[in-house]
Amino acid sequence: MILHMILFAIASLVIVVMSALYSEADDSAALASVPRRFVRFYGACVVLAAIVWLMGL
Amino acid sequence: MAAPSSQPAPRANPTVAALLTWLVPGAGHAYAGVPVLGAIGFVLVVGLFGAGFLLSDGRMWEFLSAELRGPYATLLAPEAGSLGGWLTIRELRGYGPTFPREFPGTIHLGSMLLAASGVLNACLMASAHFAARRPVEGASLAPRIDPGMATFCGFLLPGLGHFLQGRKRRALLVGGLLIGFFLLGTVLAEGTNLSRESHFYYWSGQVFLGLPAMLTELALGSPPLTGPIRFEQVGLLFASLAGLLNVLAMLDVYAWRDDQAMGRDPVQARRKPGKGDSK
Repeated sequence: MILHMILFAIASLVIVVMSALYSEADDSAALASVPRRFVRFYGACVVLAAIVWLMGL
Repeated sequence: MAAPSSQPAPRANPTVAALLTWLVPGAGHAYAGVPVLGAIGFVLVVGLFGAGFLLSDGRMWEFLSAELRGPYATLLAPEAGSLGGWLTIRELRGYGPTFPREFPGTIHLGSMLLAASGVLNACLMASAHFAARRPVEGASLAPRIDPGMATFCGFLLPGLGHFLQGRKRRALLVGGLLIGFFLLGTVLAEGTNLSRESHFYYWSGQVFLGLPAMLTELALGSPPLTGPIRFEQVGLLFASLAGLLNVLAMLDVYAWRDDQAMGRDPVQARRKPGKGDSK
């Protein structure tokens, strides 16, 4: 379980960095927004996974 | 950067130029009044396509597992970037006969070249769309590299398009991140992600990583399955995602040049209204 969460965190980080670079053309501003974007993305995915798990899907 | 002046009238309809290129490589440039660039693009796309077709004997759609041979599967393949090429394959070979037969030894290289021809033609479409418009007067045009070609360079090697635009920090970040992600996926999948025949859709995604994906496939081939692979699905996802995220990087390269030529500040143009206004 923890290993899967780590692997998903790696994928999430790459997705978030690339989306930050695309939506913000200034490098410093893009990188500064990564932690906020990562927490939002990873958190939303955890909530979604929890809902799916609770529904027994 | 100075405020953009009024948008000049386009040379030709940009959408028509892009669609013409989709059908016949270079036709959009000819329509937009830059036939030399169109002729160069035609030779490159058709040359790559012809080499790929010969090396694969035109059987790249036959080189799929049976359950993937649906009517729309190949529309998701990179070679769909050239409608002319896609129609040529469909008319001349299609999915081939129903019985299995041996493939030529060069089919992997042929498939890659065909994929590259599709991506190159898609970049040529973007270039034709750009050529059909006129840059605004006084817009920054340095460095003078065609946006479509810069985008294709970003396909060949992730980060190269940014590097050619002078955005070296971003080039290193994009290249390192995406190539590292792809290699991690390849290790986790034990190289099984490199088989177009077995994992066509994943392969179609990862091939957008350009030379790193193609050279890895040529070097490692399609390793035989010797048993269950624990992280095969994760590896497939990582490798494919690396390629698809490079498409985002390619769009970033194109948008930067387009904003420059059209007299927009590339940094401000992408910010939502109100964001960063106080800076």
